[in-house]
Amino acid sequence: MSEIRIAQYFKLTTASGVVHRYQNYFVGASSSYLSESYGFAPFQASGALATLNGDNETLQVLFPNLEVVLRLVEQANGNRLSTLQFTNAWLNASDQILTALTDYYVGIGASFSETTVELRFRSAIDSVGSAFPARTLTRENVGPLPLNSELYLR
Amino acid sequence: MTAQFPGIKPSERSFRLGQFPTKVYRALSGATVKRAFGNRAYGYELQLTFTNITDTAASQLIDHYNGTSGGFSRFTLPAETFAGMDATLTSKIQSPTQIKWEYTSPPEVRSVYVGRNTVTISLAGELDY
Repeated sequence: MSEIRIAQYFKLTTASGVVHRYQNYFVGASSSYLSESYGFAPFQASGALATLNGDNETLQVLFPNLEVVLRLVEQANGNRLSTLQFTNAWLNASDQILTALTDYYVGIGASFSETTVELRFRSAIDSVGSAFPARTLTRENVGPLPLNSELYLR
Repeated sequence: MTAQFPGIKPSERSFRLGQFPTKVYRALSGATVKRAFGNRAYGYELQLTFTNITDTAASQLIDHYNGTSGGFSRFTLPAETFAGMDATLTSKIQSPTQIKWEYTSPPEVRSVYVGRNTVTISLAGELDY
């Protein structure tokens, strides 16, 4: 397939339960996804990544500095108490959804410029960090310690 | 509220269709994959030339430019701008879907004779939703 059409669906729920739904493909129109209507907003998303360590994915969603976006940020307390369902939907030539993938994020803040508002998110699930359980190798619990860095856990 | 564009018939008109928002990835093999980011065209271009018009008509065009805050506000175009075209073609150029017009540069006024001017105007049709 050498032609790709991707619509992105942005569903943000604020701490008070208010839901904001936007999509960025159908200009000036609403689009229905899973029986919910998404209005048009000219946003773009970037930054999601996955690592072998299982670190949190990060996502930045860039909006123009519209009044409706400022309201969205304020209702989510600076985008720190929001949850986001972000869906990439592959469309066919008739703009019908063929495949859709949804990721889940939590808000971690927002930043403003004279023309844009950037909402920042991280993935909702993180891997267990290396500090758990917090144990330290000492002479008391493992015996003599090596003088160099050649340490093998068996 | 932006004032109506003056209903003056241009003596020359040049139009370029808009383009759809796409990006192309080209692999080392030469194969390409195109991605579409939207379902509407943007960036229409329209150039109007008003040859040998009166000072009054030139003033109307300048006043309209100033009324758009120097090209900041968008506007629609009257039927007179498309005089000479049939209705089908006019409908495709006058108001493409969700398009409004804006100045891409200030009008250019050239005095050609006493009380006569040639004015060139460049417009862009951008998505307005």
